[in-house]
Amino acid sequence: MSLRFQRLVLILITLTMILAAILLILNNVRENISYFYTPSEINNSNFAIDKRMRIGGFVEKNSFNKISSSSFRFRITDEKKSIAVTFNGILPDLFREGQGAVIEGFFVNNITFNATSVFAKHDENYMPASIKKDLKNTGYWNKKYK
Amino acid sequence: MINFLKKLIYFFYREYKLYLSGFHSVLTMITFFFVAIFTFIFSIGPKDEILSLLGVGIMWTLFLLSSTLSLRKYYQEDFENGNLVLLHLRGFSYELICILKTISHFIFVQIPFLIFLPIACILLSISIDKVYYIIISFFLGSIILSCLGSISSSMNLLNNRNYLIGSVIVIVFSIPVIIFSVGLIGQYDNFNSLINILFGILLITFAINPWASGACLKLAIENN
Amino acid sequence: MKFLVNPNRFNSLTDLILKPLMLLSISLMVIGLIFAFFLSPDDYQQGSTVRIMYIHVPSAWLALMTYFIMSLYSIAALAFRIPFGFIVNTAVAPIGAIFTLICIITGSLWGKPMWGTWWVWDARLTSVAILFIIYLIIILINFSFENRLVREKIVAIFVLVGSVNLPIIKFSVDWWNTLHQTASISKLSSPNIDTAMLTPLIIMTLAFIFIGILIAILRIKTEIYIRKQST
Repeated sequence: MSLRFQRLVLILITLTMILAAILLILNNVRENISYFYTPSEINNSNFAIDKRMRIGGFVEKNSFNKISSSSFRFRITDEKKSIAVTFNGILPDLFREGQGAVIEGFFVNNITFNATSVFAKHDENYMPASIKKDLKNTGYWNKKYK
Repeated sequence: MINFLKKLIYFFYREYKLYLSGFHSVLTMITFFFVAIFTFIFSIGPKDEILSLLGVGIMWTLFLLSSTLSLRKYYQEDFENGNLVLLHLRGFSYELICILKTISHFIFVQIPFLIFLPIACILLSISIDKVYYIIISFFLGSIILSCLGSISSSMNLLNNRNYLIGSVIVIVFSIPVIIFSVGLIGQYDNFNSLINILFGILLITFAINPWASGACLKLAIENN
Repeated sequence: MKFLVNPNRFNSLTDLILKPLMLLSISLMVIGLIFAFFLSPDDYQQGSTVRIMYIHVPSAWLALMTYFIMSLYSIAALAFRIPFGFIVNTAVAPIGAIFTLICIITGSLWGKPMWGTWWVWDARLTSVAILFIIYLIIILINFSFENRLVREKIVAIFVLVGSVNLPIIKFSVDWWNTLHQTASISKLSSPNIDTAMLTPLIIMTLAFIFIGILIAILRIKTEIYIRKQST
């Protein structure tokens, strides 16, 4: 086997290996390094009481209740399923109804989630505050902007 | 072709002899691994629930650290006594030499390591049903570590000022491996897809390894 | 285009454009900062905090761009034997590291008020942190070898191996659920940023690019000078 032949074979093997690897990784990676689950992704396999996990979604409209100055109750939804959440602590500035949020904590029972920390998630839309008013007045406000 | 196979067999025979005569260094690595586990257990305290929670993470970190201990032996001896040049003259391309070296490093250094893993699992009070997953993930992970070790040690052949950088290189590139293989032990439901990802990472490192370390070997031999 | 690969041409061209470039980048920076702090509107959600974006986003782009340029020059240097690529690699790595650091620091300053945390280990943040470490290793390799010819080739090989990280950073927000939001500006769709906020962003990006090029030119000239002295 000459050196050149070895190189040629190796190049072919390398290319097929990289191709196979990219296929394997792209096919499988999506569900695995999620920073959080969405409420409808929570099912029997990843649900356990007292297991620490993160859930991401939107704060459901008309669900936010302030119990005391530092304890809150709200629901996290992804428009298919929603989860009741209780939280003691300081909420980030951006946190409001209809806003994206990621919460970290554990299920205390089958339906209630006790959050130990709350992160607000904002989307990729940026627009001036004045324009939002205009859009709302003229009725062009897109619900998608949240 | 038959001639080539004979050379291959001779290569592995020689590697076997070499590693057998230098088996004490592998033993040192294994001892390091266990002593480090002991220090972890003593510093955390022997609470079973905490240990089994942290166990896999501790094992992976220490496995990584102790496999960087043997980096210097990877090519250095063969490089200094001229065996790499001889192999090349005998008709192996540098890329092939790197692949063979990686395989032999895996067989003679990482496999003895893997045999001792179940004992570490018992020490860290990890339940028996998890050991199977741990062995599989460590098996794939150790091949990846062999490839990364080959890359970093061939890069540092001529480096006699700051050898520590080799360990840093291995650790940085093994971060994704750790993320996926520790995740594999936590969740059994998507075991298959995690194994596939690990396998994908393995293929990528195995594909990059001969080119990167072959180029470095060539460089080192030409400039020595 | 010979000046991109030939040190002498590079020197003679950059002697010409250095002063104008300096003026241009300083004035763009000043205009951009005025726009960013006084003339751009508040965001409808984030209020005044959105102004961090005008530094965070350009520095993130430049951190990636610098690495991309380094990997192009590494391919050129290794495959086509253009030694100028090695000079660029050595000179440009600290600039990329600084841009990554600016990106990480401003990002965490932005994250505290908006997300409610300085740092989380989601895919985007982790991969950018790894990019920073890779830049550090490149700089360290530059200090660790005695033989210059070996060192620069090793750096180039390492840059190429490390470039697997680039697509991971770019697509991490699309592939996985991350706390970090997805890209606002992409080729395929119209930008999700209002024009009043896009203008300062573009001006700041140009300013960052020109400042980056300026420092890179100075560093490359020094590097060429050092090499001429030593040979």
